[in-house]
Amino acid sequence: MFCPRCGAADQSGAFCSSCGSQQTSGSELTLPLPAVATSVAVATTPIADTTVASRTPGTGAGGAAGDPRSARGWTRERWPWMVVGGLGIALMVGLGSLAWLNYQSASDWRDRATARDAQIRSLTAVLNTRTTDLAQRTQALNEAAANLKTAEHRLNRSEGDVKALATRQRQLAAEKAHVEDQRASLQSQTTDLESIATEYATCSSGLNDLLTAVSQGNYTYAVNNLNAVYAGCDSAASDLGNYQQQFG
Amino acid sequence: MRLALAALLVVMGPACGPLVSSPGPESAPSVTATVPPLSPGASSAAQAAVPKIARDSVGREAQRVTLRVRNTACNGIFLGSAFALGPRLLVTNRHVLAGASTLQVSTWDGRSLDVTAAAVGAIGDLGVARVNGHLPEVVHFGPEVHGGDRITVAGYPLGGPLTLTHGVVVDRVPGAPFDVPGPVLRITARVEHGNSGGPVLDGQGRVVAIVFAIETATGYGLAIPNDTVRRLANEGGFQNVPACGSE
Repeated sequence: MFCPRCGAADQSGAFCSSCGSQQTSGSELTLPLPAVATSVAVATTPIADTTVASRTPGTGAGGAAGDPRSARGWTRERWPWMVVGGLGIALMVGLGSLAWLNYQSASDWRDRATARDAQIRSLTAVLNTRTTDLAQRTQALNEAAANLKTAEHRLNRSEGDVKALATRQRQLAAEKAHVEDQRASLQSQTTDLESIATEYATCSSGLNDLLTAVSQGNYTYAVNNLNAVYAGCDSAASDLGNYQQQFG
Repeated sequence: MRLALAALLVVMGPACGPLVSSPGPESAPSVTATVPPLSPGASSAAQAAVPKIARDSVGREAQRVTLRVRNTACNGIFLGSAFALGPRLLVTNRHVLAGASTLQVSTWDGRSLDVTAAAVGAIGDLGVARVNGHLPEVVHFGPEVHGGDRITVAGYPLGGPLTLTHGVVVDRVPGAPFDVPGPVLRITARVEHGNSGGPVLDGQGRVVAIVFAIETATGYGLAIPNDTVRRLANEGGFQNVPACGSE
């Protein structure tokens, strides 16, 4: 009878009730286990061996526990599992390391995100402050522009007023100068007329003296001063003529 | 094998968790303040041209420096122009001062100042006088001008108000023409009786010559340039103003 694995059916269709009991019969115990045997079979085999050894001492090659061939077989039977286990452990350790690194990285990113979030909040607050300042400055600039516009209008009006006043001042200055010219001319005429009047007064006085002298019979005086008095009168008449010719 | 995979998932699950589930960013704070728009007046004010100050114009400068001279002579009133060399000193032509019994100066702003002393050049048509008050503004002399340069003549022609006439320099007559011992400028700007002694200004309001006559043949105005004035002032030998009837 061949029982390839525990719980599997044999060639005759019978079912193995127990793998340990089947291994008690002779040379079938030395057959290698299939590569896909379960761990249950591995666990039950030593028990069967011990049982057989205690029952039939000295019989069968593979029945004794201290048999080196049996130890080698046990090792041969289990090394694939050891390799798989080792690989599994190594894989778990590697994946665990990766998971740990991943966790650390995630923590770092989370910390960094938190820091960035705080930074964004701070910068947003600063931006709000700056925007408020900018709004105030813009408002002030608008007000200044309005004031500048008003001042420009006033300046233009003042400039126009100053120009008009300057023009008026020049006109008044010219009129004043013209009046002063006339006054100076009148003063000159007055001086000339005073001079002519003086000459006529002298002439008149001289003529009166001559008449007095003639009436009193003082002919000598009259003859001696007659030419001088006439010359004075002629000069006065001449100056008057010149004056009339000059000033009309 | 299944057991190992299950164990692996059990171990990996919490480790992978943070990577899959992000910390969940909170909503970012928004900017709440708003900036009002810049008014059109502000932008137009920034682009507006600065208006020219009239005080800086050549006309204002000419107005301030040009003086009106009244010569009361024995045979009538004669009028001419002048400009200030100093706060109380003015320069004009000899024939404006000659024969005066009384000299008076009128400024552009209506003040009248009496001349306290006067002298005329022995050669050349140049005279200076001192007044008893402050003259409005002292002139600045400009560089030498040449043919084609634009000039302005300021003065009180025919006893009227201040006038400005514009023109160019025709040429610079060398030698000693018109009884002036030095070069003389011929200008196209209109010159009349009463402009004598007035300043000829360049484009920046600086004095470049003194008007003294009209060339009868061409009608050009004649002016003594600064270098000739300087020469006359140094070599002219100033003397008293000739009395009325002796000039």
